Amino acid sequence: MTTRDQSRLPGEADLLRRARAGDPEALSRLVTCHHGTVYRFLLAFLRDEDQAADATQDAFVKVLERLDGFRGESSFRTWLLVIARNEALGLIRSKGRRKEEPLGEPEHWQDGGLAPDDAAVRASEVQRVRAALERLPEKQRLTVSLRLFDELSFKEIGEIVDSTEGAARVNYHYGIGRLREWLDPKTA
Amino acid sequence: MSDGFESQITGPDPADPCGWVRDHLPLRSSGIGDPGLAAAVDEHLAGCAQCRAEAEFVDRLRQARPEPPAGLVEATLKRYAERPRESARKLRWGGPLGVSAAAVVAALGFGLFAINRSATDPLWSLALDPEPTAWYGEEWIVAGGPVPEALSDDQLLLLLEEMDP
Repeated sequence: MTTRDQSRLPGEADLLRRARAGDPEALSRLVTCHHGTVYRFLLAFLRDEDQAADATQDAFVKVLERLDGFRGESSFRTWLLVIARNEALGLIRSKGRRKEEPLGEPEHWQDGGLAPDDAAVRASEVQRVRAALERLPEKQRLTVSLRLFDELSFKEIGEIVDSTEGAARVNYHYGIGRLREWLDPKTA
Repeated sequence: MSDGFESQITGPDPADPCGWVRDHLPLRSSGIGDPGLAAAVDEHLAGCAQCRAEAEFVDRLRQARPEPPAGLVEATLKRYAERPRESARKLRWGGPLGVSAAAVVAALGFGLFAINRSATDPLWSLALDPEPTAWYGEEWIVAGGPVPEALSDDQLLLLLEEMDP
């Protein structure tokens, strides 16, 4: 049993050819299809929403400017995320900052004192999960985010975070295990 | 459709079905790319309480998926459309290359100027002393300046003329 390559958009080669020729619709489609993945990846990297949004734009500008240099040895998404990673590293080097561990004690995240309102309960749960994700070590955090939210293969994640496919798989399971310890200790 | 790139997902590993299923839990909601694989995962979950608990936990985590801010696509396309063009950057001489070229020209000009001056001007000769460490010896310095006895007659005369024209 095999499946089609999930890392490429259907008709990606044709889309890239039109984007290289400056077709605005093709450029818009490339950005529309991938901006969520790039934003989430950069958010996991930088842990700051404004910086992630800004770096997402910068990464796309670089990628679209260099489309002629893309030879298709990897998927466009992999290439885009590697450039986004470099953009984030450059940002970290130039500003010399990265949000430090902003977290409280893990026990605090498990509290059952949820508000009666459903929306508030959900928002509180989302905040707890995101706070726990932020606490993971960098490679685990990036790997879990790419796998959990954007369903990348372990091989593709390895290319992006500069590790082997096997290491990406191990990082993912370690990360999920830690999140269970912090968020759901009864079943961990 | 497959274009030969990686991500070819095969079925559950009989030696480690739980490991295979847990690897693919995040892909379950999108069907793991193949209805047969999704059915295989569901079948395993029906009979494995531990994997079912993990599946519920993964679903819970996925609820926290961050979404990009509204307008990010438009802002990105606008930034791309309004970016400084490569050709304009080259002409503007504003980049690192332009700064480097300006620094080289300035250094060459200053060097030529100093060499010409030093041929006739003893103070310039002093400033271009090939052994400037002599200036830092305590016996040459009083209150941060050279001791007059250390200067040649010509240099001393020039200093005195500058002090009392």
